[in-house]
Amino acid sequence: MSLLKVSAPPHISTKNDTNVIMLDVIIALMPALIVGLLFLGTEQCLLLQLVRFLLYWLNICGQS
Amino acid sequence: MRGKTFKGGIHPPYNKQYSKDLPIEVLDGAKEMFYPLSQHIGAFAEPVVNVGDKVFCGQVIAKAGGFVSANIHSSVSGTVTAIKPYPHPNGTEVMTIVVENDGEYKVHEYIKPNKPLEQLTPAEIVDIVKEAGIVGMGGATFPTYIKLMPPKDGAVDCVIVNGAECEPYLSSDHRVLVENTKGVLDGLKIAMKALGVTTGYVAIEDNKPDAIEIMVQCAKEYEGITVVPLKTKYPQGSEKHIIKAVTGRTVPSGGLPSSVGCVVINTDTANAINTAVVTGMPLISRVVTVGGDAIENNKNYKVRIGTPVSFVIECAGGFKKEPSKIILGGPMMGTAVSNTDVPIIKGTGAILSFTDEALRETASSKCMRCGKCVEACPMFLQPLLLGAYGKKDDIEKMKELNVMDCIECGACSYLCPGHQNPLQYIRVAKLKIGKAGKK
Ligand code: SF4
Ligand code: SF4
Repeated sequence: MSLLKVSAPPHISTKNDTNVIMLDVIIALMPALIVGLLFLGTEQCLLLQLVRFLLYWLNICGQS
Repeated sequence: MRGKTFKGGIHPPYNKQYSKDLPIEVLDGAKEMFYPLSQHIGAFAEPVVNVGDKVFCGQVIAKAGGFVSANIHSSVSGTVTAIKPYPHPNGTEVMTIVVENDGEYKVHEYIKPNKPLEQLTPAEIVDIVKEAGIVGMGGATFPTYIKLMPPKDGAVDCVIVNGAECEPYLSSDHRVLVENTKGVLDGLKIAMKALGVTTGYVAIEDNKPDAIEIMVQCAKEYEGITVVPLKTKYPQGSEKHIIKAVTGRTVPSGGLPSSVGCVVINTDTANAINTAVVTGMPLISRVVTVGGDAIENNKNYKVRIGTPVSFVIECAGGFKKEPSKIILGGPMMGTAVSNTDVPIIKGTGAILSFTDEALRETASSKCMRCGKCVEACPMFLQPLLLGAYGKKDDIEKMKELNVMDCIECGACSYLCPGHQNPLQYIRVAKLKIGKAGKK
């Protein structure tokens, strides 16, 4: 048997980590984004920038 | 039927389906048995046997070394071969009495049934429990006899048997409740008599409907004992939270359960009290769940205390996958051990072995102040701040935030999306504060 790991409890953790939660945020923003794009177009829609930013963050989290 | 509960808490995957329906199997001892002198909270026990001595089942081999301490008994018959430092489940080396098992399990002549319960005085009951070396078998391992001594102001008015078993994977208490219902109820009755109270509760989480059903049925014959179904939630089995759920009383910060008139005993402990009083046999065995995704067969074993973990694992068919972590106790509060030579001690409720896939270890990122840990903390602390101050080693600030109230349930660390593991820092701080207090 190879060496066993030891660590402090708890030994299990939830699957809902930051990436999953941020993805949820993006999904929740979708309706608002669509409406925003419809009414304001791509240039003035702040939300689009926000979603872009969140995706960028997810990318960072994914790499670390 | 809606179960009672407390505020806060979490719902981890319980994974009890693997072992909850497996009947308890009795396991014989290994060739060599190990009895660490510390199997309880408090002072080490002092050995009363020498190398070369012949010992029998149930014989005292180490006497309690103080008020908060417990006797240790041999769980086999055989010869004492050594008294030496040996790996202990807590990760250190502790003085341990090694007994070579002769496989005959001869019982010491000292062991004989006690008088029937009606004739026993409360003081005699406390004495029997003390001699039998019974400690809290849910993991805290506090000597039970101290709990059974009524406090001077006589404020205790109820005894609760803790059958919540909120830790994932564990099913040992569940099996005891189902298979040894009478033993548990009798144990509770004895504890009630020792404390001179007339109200007893058996609190069981509602994910064990079969246990609740059989308990309700058997409890009809007992006066003053009520079965309370609890909502399934972690950490429902914590002493303070089971009191809250059953009686609605809140244990004050830093207080003991007796300060609100309650005494809580574990299921297996109640059973052990009954065995000690009825047969005279001290605490020499306990029920242990064997589980996890690396083990060949899930089992519920009645194991003699002192059996090496490796022996129990072999009996369960060994590993089917390479384990990366072996945990004694549940995955939320159990201790990971570095080798399998360590023995089963009084507080070991389970042996769980997990592969890397099951553990899914993740690197910690940042705290995003989501507040999930605060919402979940059953003690209403602020784990995110405790974790942050812990990282800076700011013990004073942590004290201000009542770090000592943390029950180390691990709900915060389990739930944290950023895997901050606040509990790790909290434990370090509590240790440091405890050490500073002793100086
Ligand atoms: S759960 Fe984790 S990320 Fe969320 S506030 Fe608590 S420590 Fe921070
Ligand atoms: S701070 Fe302590 S009591 Fe609160 S959730 Fe974390 S481990 Fe549990």
